[in-house]
Amino acid sequence: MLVVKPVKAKSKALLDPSGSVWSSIAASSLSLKTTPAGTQPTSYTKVAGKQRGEAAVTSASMRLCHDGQRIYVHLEWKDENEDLATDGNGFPDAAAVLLPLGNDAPINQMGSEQQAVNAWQWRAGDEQGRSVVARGVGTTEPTPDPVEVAAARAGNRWRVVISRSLAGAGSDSVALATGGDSRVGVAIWEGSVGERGGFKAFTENWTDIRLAE
Amino acid sequence: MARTRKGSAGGSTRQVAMVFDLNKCLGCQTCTIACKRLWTRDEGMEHMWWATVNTQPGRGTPKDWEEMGGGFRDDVAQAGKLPTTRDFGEAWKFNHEEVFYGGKGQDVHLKPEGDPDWGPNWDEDQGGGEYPNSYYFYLPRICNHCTHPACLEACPRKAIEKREEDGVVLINEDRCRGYRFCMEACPYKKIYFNHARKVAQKCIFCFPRVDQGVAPACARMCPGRVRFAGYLDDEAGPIHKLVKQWKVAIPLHPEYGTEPNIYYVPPLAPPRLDENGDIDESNPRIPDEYLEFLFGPTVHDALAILKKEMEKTRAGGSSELMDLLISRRWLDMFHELERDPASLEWSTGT
Repeated sequence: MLVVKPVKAKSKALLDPSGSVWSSIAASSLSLKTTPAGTQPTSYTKVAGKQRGEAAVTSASMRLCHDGQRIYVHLEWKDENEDLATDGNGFPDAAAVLLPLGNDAPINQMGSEQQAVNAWQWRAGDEQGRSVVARGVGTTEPTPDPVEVAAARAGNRWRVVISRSLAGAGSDSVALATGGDSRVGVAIWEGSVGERGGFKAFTENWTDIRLAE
Repeated sequence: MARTRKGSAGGSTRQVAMVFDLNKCLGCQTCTIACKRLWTRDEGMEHMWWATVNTQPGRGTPKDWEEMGGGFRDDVAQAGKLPTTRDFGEAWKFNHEEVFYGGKGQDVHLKPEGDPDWGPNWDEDQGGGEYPNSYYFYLPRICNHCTHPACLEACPRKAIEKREEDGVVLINEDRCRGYRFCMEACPYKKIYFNHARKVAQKCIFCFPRVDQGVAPACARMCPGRVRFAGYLDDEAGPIHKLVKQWKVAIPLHPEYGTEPNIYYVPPLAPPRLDENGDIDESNPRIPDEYLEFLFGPTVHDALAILKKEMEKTRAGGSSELMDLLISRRWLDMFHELERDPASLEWSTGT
């Protein structure tokens, strides 16, 4: 169980991926795997997935905190290329945090019909984050939650902060509360090798978290 | 697994289609510009030409698209290559300022900036064959609004729909996330990526016009009367007659397995000249194998029908097919879609 501690810091400081507040928070290491071609949602992506190599990113570090109002997820991983893909060729780097709406939601299937999952996404070059709900692969739909994101390059690494209100905005948004438990997963897309959609690196297992009061 | 297809329109009750008569296309690009002016002038669309006309034989647009994969083989999706904006041919910037307003009009040629090595019509009019038997013809292309659309099946966002009422294939930009699997899966490579809006875009068969009985702009603007437009099931219209009744209009690369709804009247060519400069009727100027590569083996049947009907008129008789292809009354090319767009009252959407 990873305890998400409360911090006394302004949102602006927490949304600085290289800010000093993050150096005081312990990092968890994540191991990421390639999504199997068989779980891709369409016949085309299954075929194309079989021809792809392993996902590019195999490890990342994660730091979590909350300020009583919002939860902040800090991700850091090695990536030699900063891919913004602004000219329409190639794909942007991206990352997402996944939380289950029902605690038994399968992470490797992006949830199920009965057990949805809620993802908060960052995409390089986009100023706003995005929240989606999924009930199985290929079923993501946007939810109205404002997701704040911030990203910075630190040498050959990405540092990204993804933040959302603890309460969430609706029935398809995971509701968090101090004193409560939840679980998180992470996905990372390496744009330079064409990772997007279901082609990504992801954590095969949930990390259990508890939001300390 | 293949998507269930009902009847001949892929689950749609009707299917719009076009027939391009390649014997009449003179490569003027009026269709190309009609489309560009109407649909692809915004930021992010600079490199887009939803309607293209390329010289055949040639590498086409995007460059070497026929080697990029996608489509279906035995109903199984095939992996495809993602075309780049360079493959399509980037929008060149010209030195207009210098030539027209910089006082150098007498010294400097109008030319693209940089040193481009490809464009949407880079190999225009090169064609094939050796003098005196060189040959070429023009191949107009738009989205095929396929009955079995590879793009629709590929999209994990379910952002592509085939309209129930007329089979037009559309990308829902609110659902599209710019993954571009559609661009890889489309074997005709007629989908573009808008880098400003981060969505895929393509020909929409001018559906706001079709909804009001007006033919698509490319068809209506064609000065050569090349492009017939209408519904496949309209037995009184030219599409049904050319495709189903006369069987002289056939799809491009039917082996791609998507059941396209743009049909082509294949090109006839003048006869070959032999080494003495005499007419040699025994060998076609456009090689059979090249036409088969483009249109499949039924191209020979279509050409045989065309030749037979041409002979009838040469002998002083009449041919319904020749009259249909000549299109003496321009609006007969559109039948159900013959309404004048100037007669429409457009909603401002407010």
